[in-house]
Amino acid sequence: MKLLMADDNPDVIETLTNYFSARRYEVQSVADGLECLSVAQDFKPDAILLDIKMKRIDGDKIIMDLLTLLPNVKILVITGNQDQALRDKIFKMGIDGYFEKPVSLLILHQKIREIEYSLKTSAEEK
Amino acid sequence: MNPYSIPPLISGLLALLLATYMLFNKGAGTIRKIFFVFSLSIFVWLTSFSIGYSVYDPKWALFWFRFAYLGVVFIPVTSFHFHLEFLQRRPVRLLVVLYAISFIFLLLSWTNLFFYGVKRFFWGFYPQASIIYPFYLIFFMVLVWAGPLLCIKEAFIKKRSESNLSIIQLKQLRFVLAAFFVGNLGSADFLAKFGIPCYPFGYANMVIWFVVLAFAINQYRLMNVEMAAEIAQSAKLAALGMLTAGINHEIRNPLYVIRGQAQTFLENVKEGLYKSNDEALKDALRMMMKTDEQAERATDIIKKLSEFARPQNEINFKQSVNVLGCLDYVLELIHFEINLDKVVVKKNVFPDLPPIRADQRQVEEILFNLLLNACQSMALSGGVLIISAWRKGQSVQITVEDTGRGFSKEKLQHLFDPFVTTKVGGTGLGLYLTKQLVEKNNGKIKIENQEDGGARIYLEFSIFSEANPIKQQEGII
Repeated sequence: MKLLMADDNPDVIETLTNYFSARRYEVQSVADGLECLSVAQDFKPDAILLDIKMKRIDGDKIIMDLLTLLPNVKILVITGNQDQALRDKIFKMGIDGYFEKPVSLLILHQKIREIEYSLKTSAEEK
Repeated sequence: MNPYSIPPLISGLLALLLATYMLFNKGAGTIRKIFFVFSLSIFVWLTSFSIGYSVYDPKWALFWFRFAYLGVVFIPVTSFHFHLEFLQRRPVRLLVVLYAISFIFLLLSWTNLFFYGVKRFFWGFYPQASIIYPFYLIFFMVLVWAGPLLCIKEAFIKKRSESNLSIIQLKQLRFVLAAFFVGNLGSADFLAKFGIPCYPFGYANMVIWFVVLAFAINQYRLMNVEMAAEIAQSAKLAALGMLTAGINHEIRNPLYVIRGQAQTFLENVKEGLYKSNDEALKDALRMMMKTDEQAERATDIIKKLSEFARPQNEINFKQSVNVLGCLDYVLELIHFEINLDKVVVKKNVFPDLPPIRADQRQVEEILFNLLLNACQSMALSGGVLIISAWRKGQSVQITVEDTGRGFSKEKLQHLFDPFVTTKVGGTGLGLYLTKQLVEKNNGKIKIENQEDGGARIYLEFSIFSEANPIKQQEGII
């Protein structure tokens, strides 16, 4: 399963990458919205862990583009802000999860396992 | 009860009510205490006269009119004192003499030299002036007019730069003066004391005077210095509050990393991902170092913010202040905001810039307010913030330029007025207080729009040099 991490904080990226790559996930990372779009196009991740506030373009601005580009991609938004209005807006775009930092890696992992399972079952059905 | 005695009674009770309210509401500064005594004098005057109108025995009427003078004799001196306090002038010796004279008049008011008796008019008894009364009347008129005349001088004749009143106090002054002219018509009451049958309608004017004064004091809530300092502090905290989105983001990231590192290690052990103890130890060491570093980062952010938020106890306008140091400190403080707003900062500071003579904390506060404002004017769309500083003669010039919206023409004229704001959630006190801070540090500030959009702020401070002492100003903010 392929995961794309988007966060402009290198320490966050390092922590996530270490955890998930040690668990046999294929991981790539980007530091801003523009980069996220171009890497997603080539890498074709199954799920994206998307930070909202990033340099150049914010995460919420690219959700629609990501979904157009990869209609089946699962987007998990991980944000550093408590903003109810933004949260409601993002949920309407069709994301699969919304977490506030510092979210537990175990919860993220659980969510990703669920996505992995649903991908597997839908592949088997086909 | 005589119907003519009802309006003064009601007015008197109203005076007492208002006086008490003013005394206990929102802190009791000196001016409120003077206002209280002034109102109390008016209460004694009006209620005693009201009783005097109603009694049937002229002896008792005279007693009550004399009793009224327990309050009346202090009206001129407290009114004068009120105006002086408003102008922040405290000529103690003069005031002592004036209060003493008032006291002498109080003693005299119980003799026949002041009022020889009472005369019956259509509204009831009224005291009749004797030899001393005209002297009291002169004393009354001089003092009652002196205060407002000094205020007029301060507000309209003196140059703005020489006045130690703030814009807000000058606004209050308008109320004080308008109130006085209405209230002063009330002194036409004296006509009846010389036997002229003119109904003493002074209570009505007094009530108007009163309500307007109370309104002026309460409207701006800045009557005393302690309150001004309190307001400055809360405006600072409000400005810091605007940083919360950025701070939130900045503190959650290290916490996220700390938690993630700890969980990774625990899970790795639980799932048996480490092949040897050595490998686990090596990984643990690396993770602990990372955790420590992140904890330090979060602590650093909190430390800086709380240090800036703390109210300032000691002020020294004679410090040698390094502008670049202050600038770097403030940029670090607001860098979350800068990042969130996608602002690029350019610094052009003249090498070997001499230090300025000012209070360091206040210079930081000035820069904090101005830079934060500039960033917020460029919020979301992003922009460039250019800060330049150079030496010009005996001064240091600083400019802050942004590529934001700039200000509309009307806004530019009222930028430094209190309660003027262009942003949602703003207190409207930021620039007003910033200007006060700049002026207290013997600096100058000017804001204008740039030709191609955005605002440009000019700051000027004097260079610090031991040989060139500058006029000292005292202040609390």
